[in-house]
Amino acid sequence: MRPSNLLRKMESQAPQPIPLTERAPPLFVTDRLGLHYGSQAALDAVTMTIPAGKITTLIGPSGCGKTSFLYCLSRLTDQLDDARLSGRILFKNEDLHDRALDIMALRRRMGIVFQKPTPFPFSIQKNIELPLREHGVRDKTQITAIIEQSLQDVGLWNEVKDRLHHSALSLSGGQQQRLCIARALALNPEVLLMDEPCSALDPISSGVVEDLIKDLGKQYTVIMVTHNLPQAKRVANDVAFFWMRNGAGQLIEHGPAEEIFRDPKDPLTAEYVTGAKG
Amino acid sequence: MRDALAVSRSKNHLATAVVWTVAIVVSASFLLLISNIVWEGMGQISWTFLTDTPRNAGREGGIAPILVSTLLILAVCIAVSVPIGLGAAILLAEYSSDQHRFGRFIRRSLDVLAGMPSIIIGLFGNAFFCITLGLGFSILSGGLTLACMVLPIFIRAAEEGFRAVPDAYRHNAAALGLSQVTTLYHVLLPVALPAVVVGLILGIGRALAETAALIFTSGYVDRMPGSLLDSGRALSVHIFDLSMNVPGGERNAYGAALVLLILLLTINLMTHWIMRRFFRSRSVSP
Repeated sequence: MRPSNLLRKMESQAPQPIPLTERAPPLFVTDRLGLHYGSQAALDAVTMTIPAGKITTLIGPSGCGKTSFLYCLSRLTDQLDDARLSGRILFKNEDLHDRALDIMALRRRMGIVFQKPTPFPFSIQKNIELPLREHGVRDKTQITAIIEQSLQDVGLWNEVKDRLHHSALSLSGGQQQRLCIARALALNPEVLLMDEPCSALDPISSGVVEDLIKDLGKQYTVIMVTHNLPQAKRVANDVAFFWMRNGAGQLIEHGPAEEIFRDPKDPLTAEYVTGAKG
Repeated sequence: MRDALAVSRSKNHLATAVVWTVAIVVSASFLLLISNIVWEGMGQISWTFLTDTPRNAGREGGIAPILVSTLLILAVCIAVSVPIGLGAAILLAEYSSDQHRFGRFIRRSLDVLAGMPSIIIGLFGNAFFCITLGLGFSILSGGLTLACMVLPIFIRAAEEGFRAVPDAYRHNAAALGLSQVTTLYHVLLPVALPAVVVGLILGIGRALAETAALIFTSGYVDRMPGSLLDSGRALSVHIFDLSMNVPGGERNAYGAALVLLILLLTINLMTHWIMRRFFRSRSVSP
């Protein structure tokens, strides 16, 4: 729980804009990050610096460790029975493997959106209210305000404002995914981690969510896994390309989206982004 | 070619016949049983039958004290089983993995316990609750012994209920920084609840039908119990006694059997009703 964060949120409704310059301090730094599931290697020596204030997309074929990488960044690997990490991850210069680190407080600073929309099986309102209460927001008017604001932010407010007490499961897939994003935004996170947020949606909903992510990129740092190259091209500032090598996922190339798509340095990247491989 | 077709067609007919025969035999024996009890018991049931005390060893009079004892035994059993059972199920499903030694040991023990003959549980209840703990032949001893029988079934069913909750809920809850208690109470429990309730109903069904274990623990005194430490006769014991030990008690045995059936049905329906209300109050669409 971070009261100071909450206060900040209360003082200024809009999150502080982060200057979109190259000099912005890195948000995540990974150093030879490795991940094993039991004896199976999933990630091998990923060293990467992810800047703040940008949309970074992680691309690559299935099973190349993109989602695992996202799980490492949020320490959701704790949820998996036999996951074992090696190397280092820094989040704003804090070591994520520090034993003293409060994981629950950490997760509050990261908004995580999964591939399959998973609203909890209760009302739309409670879906947003429950995490807020958990993190110490108790004031009714404040909660109501945050619920409205976060639903506005994802463009869902007008669609659901008259049925906030209906079950969240009554929403369509695209609406459910936007609710999940709103739920994450309500906690005023410092970064949004998204794992193929559009891939389980129909084309129209997918388009809506994609536009939303592009918009959110103006206010938040977004790190998004996607299978969809055109989508990566449309939304990304930076692109990181992962590939499976020697049975484990590796980072092949990382840079501004234009460079990766127009003039990739690694031949593997070139083959992948032109569709010759993968 | 044609022969093969004919053979497979006759195989089909055979299979259809077998399936239908089995279905008819099963439902017919069930209907026969129920209709026999309803037919014979219907005439016995009246307001006085439910509110009167048994007279002449149960041949005449009603079943009021027996009904009260049964409900008290059941209440003790449920009050003990639900918290312990839920706790154990959550421990097994959420805090111990499939491979873990401790969890495997507990699961295996529960499966053995679930198949334990009730007479042995009754003897254990008598030795432990009645004698060692000094509770004597009492409703409390009976309820606790029944809890020993209900718990293995209930825990395993509830554990399966929690295991069936998709991991996506757990990951989403963790991603939002929800504590384990909040996740359990607000997210996992409502999803697992139907399975938990089914497990409880199965357990209660077994408890209500139990005779052997109760003869040794709650006894067969047919007076109105004054407290949980009094002996009390359960419906199943009453039915057994009337039909086996009391010549001329058959008619009232049928009456008591019908009451037992109705009781089971009522508990079943009531549980579903409560569950639906519970869900609505959490505004979940069924």
